[in-house]
Amino acid sequence: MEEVFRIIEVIMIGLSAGTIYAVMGVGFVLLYRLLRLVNIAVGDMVLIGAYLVMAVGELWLVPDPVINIILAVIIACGIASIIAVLTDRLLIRPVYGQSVLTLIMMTVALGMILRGICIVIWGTTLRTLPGQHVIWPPRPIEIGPIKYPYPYVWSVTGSILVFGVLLYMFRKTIFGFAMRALSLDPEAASAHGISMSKMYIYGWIIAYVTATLAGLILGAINGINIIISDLGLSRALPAALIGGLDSPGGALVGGLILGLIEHTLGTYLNMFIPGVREAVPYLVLLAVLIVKPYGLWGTVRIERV
Amino acid sequence: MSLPCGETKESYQKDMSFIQKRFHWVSLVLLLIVLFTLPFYSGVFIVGLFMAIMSFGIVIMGLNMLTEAGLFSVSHAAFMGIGAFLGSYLSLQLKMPFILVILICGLVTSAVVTMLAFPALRIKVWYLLFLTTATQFTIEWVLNYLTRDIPGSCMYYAKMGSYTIGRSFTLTEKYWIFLILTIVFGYLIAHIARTPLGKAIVMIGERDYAAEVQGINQLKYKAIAFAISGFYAGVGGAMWGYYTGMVTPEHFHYLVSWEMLGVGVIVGGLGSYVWGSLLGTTIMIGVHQGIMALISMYAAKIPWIAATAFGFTAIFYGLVIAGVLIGEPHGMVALLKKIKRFFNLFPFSY
Repeated sequence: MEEVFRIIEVIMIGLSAGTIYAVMGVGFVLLYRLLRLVNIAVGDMVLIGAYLVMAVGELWLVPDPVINIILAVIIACGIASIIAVLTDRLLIRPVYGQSVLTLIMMTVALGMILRGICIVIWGTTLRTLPGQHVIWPPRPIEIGPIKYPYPYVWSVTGSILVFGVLLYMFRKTIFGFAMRALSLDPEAASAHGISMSKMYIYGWIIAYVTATLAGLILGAINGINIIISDLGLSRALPAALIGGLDSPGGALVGGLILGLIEHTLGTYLNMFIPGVREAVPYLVLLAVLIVKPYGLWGTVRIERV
Repeated sequence: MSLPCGETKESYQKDMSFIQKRFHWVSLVLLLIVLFTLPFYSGVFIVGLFMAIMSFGIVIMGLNMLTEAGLFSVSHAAFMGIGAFLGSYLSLQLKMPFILVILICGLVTSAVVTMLAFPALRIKVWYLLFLTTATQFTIEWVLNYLTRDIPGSCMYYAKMGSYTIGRSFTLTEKYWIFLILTIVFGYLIAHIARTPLGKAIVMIGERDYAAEVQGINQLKYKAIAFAISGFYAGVGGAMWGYYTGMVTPEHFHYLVSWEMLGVGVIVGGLGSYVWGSLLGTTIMIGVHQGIMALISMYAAKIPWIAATAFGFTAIFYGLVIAGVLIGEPHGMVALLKKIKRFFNLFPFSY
């Protein structure tokens, strides 16, 4: 009986961790759909988001810890949006439409700059979010015999919120309709009066905001350090790829699958190969690439000479 | 046939030769003299810097050729790591001589890297980025796993020496051997570039389907490009191990791969296998060492700056890559060529 509860626990934690990966993956996928750009700097965007939340939270604008952290997240998303505008205008816009290698190297440069800024301002020591022991008590929640760590409650609510807002935006509002039109056919959409340059900025803002939210949860679980940029990169890529590189719904499914595989396989293989849990996402990524490179719902790339 | 002003070549052989004018002869001989006599008039630090540049430069030569074949890889630091760790095992545990270690490391790494050619047939453009990132992380994890019982997970190298002489080399002799190896490998890759093989590799990079229509076997030439670049990565890794004396998995972090592709290849000059790669490597290692030296100068006064040295290096690399991509997409070599063309027939260029 004890075994069964452990399995349920592992599955619950895996799915909840998967929601964070899904949030990172959806920002990645939206950017790919809009700009045809694989953003390898996603980990560093997560890193700077986490540090921004921490820095604003440490100002203690409101004495109550819960309201303080919510306010900090909102302000950090605002600052991240400013960085998004700068990113688009200064780095990506000048090379947009050039070769794939140029775009890749531009995101590499973006990642290096963001990571360097984080190291210079905040150093390399392990930090925690302000008021963390109040918001996320280290003691897990106990539902009967099942233990469930606290930060995952936030990750599940947060990701439901993010996906709800995105779904509403893309299905019901004229803004989301314009963005979908632009990602389908940029030339036709801009001929109908949709401003390409504005939409690209909004795309970057969505990417940065999702990265900031993911950074908040990853920082709450692991502590804020340079290491969470590695975590972000190595989890966002497979999460986006499993569902298909241009399918936002696929990112949700991909993230959940990745979380589940990582935690179940990691927990049960760890007895035989110590430390295998860190390697599981990369192995999943390799396996998906070799077996089904376009993912579950991704568009198959057709090549003509 | 039309040629730009000041070009006086008459045959294909002349156009393809490395040394075309008397000026080239003179500058080559002068460069070789300066490089070979370097240990006599400079300190240990400069000689070590050149050895690091040479071992990374060999890796980046191979990476440059791979990128020219349209197969950009962000996992070359990991491939270098394979060579470095294997070299440590061969030199310290099996007590092999230097030259044998380097060759075996090159061949084994080449065999590992060539396996990537099979998925690369189907996986293209963006997906290749995913593939190489996954490879980088997996190899990094395997290296960490294999060295988990070793304290600090660092593996040492035997002192560089040869069995025929029966003694270990001094730093100066090591430097000369590295220099000779760099010249040999540089000549080889520059020669490959002008053979049919090199042309086929460039053609695959331009448009692989179109090249296949022209009768160039995609799998074969992609595998050859991977094999050459893997061989260079293994050799460079083993040389780097001999230079530092010990290797840890942290030396082969994925950021190093990004730096190698970004600063080494793009900033140096894509397509210019020898000079572009060496220029890029010099910028990459020189900037890092320069910032480190600058910071250690001020570290006593401002303690905050010492812990953040890597941050400044990363920001600088990022800015340099972005600036080069926007301003001069073909790298520093193209900039030098522009200067050369300006001074060719100086007052009346055209």
